[in-house]
Amino acid sequence: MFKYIVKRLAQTIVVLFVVAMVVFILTNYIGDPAAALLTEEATYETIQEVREQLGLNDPLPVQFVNFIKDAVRGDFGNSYVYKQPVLQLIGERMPATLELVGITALMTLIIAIPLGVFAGAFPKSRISKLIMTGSILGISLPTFWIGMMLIYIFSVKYGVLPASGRGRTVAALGMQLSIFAPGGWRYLVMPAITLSLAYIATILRLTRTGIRENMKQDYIKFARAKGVPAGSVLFRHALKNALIPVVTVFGINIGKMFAFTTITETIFAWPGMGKLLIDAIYRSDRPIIVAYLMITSVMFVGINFIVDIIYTIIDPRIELR
Amino acid sequence: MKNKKLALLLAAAMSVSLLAGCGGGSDKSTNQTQPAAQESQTAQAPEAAGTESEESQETGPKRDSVTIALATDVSSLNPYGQDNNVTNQVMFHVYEPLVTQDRDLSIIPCLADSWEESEDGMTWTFKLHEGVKFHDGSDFTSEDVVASYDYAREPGSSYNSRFTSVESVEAVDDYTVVIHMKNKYPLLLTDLAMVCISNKENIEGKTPEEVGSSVIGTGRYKLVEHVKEDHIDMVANEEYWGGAPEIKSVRFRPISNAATRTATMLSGELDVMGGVSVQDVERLEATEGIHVVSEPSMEMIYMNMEQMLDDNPAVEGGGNPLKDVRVRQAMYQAIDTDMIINNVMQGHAYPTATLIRDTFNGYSPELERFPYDPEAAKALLAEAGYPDGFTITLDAGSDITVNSSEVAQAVAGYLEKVGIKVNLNLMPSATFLPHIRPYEHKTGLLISAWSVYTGEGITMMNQHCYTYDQEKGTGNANRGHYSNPEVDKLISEAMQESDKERRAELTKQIDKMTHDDVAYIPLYVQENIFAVKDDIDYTPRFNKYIFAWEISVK
Repeated sequence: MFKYIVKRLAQTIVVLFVVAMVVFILTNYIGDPAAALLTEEATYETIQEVREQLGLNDPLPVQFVNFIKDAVRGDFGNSYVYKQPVLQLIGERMPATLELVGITALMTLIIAIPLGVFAGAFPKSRISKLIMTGSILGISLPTFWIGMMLIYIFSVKYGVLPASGRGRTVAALGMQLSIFAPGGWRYLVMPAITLSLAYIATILRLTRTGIRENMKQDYIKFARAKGVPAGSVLFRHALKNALIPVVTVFGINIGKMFAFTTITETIFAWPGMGKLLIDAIYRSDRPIIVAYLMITSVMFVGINFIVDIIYTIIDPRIELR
Repeated sequence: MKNKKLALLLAAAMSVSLLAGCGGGSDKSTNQTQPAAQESQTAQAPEAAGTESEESQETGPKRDSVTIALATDVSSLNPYGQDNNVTNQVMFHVYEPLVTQDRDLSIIPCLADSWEESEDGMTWTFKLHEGVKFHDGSDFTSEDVVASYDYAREPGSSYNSRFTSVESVEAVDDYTVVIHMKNKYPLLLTDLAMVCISNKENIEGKTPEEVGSSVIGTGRYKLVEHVKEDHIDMVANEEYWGGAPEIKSVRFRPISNAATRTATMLSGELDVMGGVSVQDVERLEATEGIHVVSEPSMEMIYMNMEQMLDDNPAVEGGGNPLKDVRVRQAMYQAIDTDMIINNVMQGHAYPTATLIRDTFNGYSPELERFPYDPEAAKALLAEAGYPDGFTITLDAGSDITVNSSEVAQAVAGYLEKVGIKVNLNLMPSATFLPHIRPYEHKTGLLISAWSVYTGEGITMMNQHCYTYDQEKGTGNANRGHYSNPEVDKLISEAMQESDKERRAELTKQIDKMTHDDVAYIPLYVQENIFAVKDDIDYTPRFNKYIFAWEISVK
């Protein structure tokens, strides 16, 4: 176990280094941050002054080495546009994204797994067919379209939900959350549905396939022959065995939800990290882009680590190496 | 039997989860009582103690709160952070400049009661309004003006370029400020109108971050809170020296996605929004309780053609046909701007023969466009020695103005029709703007947009038609490197001219000369479109800033 953790940490460091380097090189081609900071009629002199201040006139390798030196000490630099430490900026936005992802992940689990089990256990039922058709829609409809349709129906046509924004927040669990604020859920519902539909569909289909395969296995027949109740056969035997791939994919999906809520956040003007990333890309605000992608890389590694541990719980035969 | 029970159970679970997902208050009455019932809880939560604008908007006989949409959030609340429209619009609610611009952009007094330019134009003397107090109760004096201007003109500051002609700022007595000039610059006030005045103690020796976190001005509104990317709340400054505003609480909501902004307006959560997309106008107009107001903006859309280099980087196979005025005129006459206005812009744009807006000082109404005439264009090309045209790259920003990609495609199509083969190079503004800088020499033909808020035509001509010089910093928007010594001479003269009439006279001459030289191709003037709720009155300003104190409830 100890060896496993050390190995994972070493991998993480390599991943972070590579991410930082790739982003550094790429952001060099997405424009000049001075353009976002100055008016268009800025003189050559002013532009160079600003570039000098930001350290952009050094050769790229020098900039990269300077960045790594600071990063090792935990200083990821200041945003060019906001002039604030990027970790602070990302930290400010993180609760909104965490909240959205948390609710979305929860919704995905609560909805996808029961539906998947049902569709797997009773594949010929009409309801199952309905679920499967619905899941195809969930996978194939683009996020921005779903988001706009929800806004159109619930906000514009019936006026029951706010179209955008986050509403009030209250301090809870050590951060500012809107779900605990009065009426805060009304702001969360549509973004969470928009973000979760595709994931619900994927997880549901995976669960169903797993259940169907396992239901044909001999051990299920034995269990039935032995007289184990149907519910127990389904949930304690079949589901548990079908769960391994589901956990893997769900883990990756949480990472994806977290890193790429950008579209959903933009549509609903949700003040989270995804919007920060999009704005940073538009303004070539490199410190934010680099730090953001490094943080999400850490998240992915961390989630995979947790997934590995969950494996050993579901299936004791699996060993961490 | 057991299977059936299980199926029922699962089906029930499913329907419950679906309801939880989509219901979202299908019962409207419960929804509306909820906020009221929980109001008392809200008060206990300190972070939520901001304005109650959302609720108060829906009820009450005459409301005094408005919600205004912003296209983007401000990057900080530092009034010297970023010189752009959104920041200036928001900051002017809290801070004030010495002089300000009226709705039609003419200069009117604000913190300064009066001012005087010396005979030689080398000193400006401002008499400040007495008895003005900052939000923290301290007095506003000349020291604050000096500190603010010194802060704003530090090297690398975004507002630095507004002080290029300023040598020093001096406080003569408590209510007199003198600005010493490096050179005569009669348009100084149009720049000062964009610079906020802060409390000296609040900025001197402070970092931008500290300035942005302590928001104390003299303006009509006080900051309540700024939740990044969600809202900025303000309340009326009841002690405002010019009388408290009618609207008591204001909420700005940054919504960058245009479709979301429109949807939020349609759902009734916004009172005023700018930047309506042309395709949304009909939908908004058809909605009860919302009307659309529009007028020509300051945004001029035009094309630049490389006229200095012998080898145009955009022309395939080298050479530079664009140096020939006949080729430039041929391109001008090849483009049917009326069709672009009617079809691509759906009528939400206006034709123009010059970069100078018709409301500006120095506009020439008699100047006419070269007419759209593809045959004449072909003849001109043949005459210039390009009967079969040439191949050229057209650079354009995909997101800089309304439908800018579509406009660029249309322009490319028109040029193809007269035999000029176009490679369209569309870029997002982050790459486009650095690409077209005059000193980069990367572009040879481009479509861009420019707006000037001084109300003076000469500003436009100075930025666009004066010979580009990297060292001297002149002609910074002259991306086609147009150069005419006579035009330069006239521009210098006009920039030094304090008499408005005479300035207009010179500007008209310059306009005519650059038109004859086909220094650039004007395409159209974009329209500013606002959506406004029916229960309020709002007349847009020429510079599209939405000020809460200019909104009145019917």
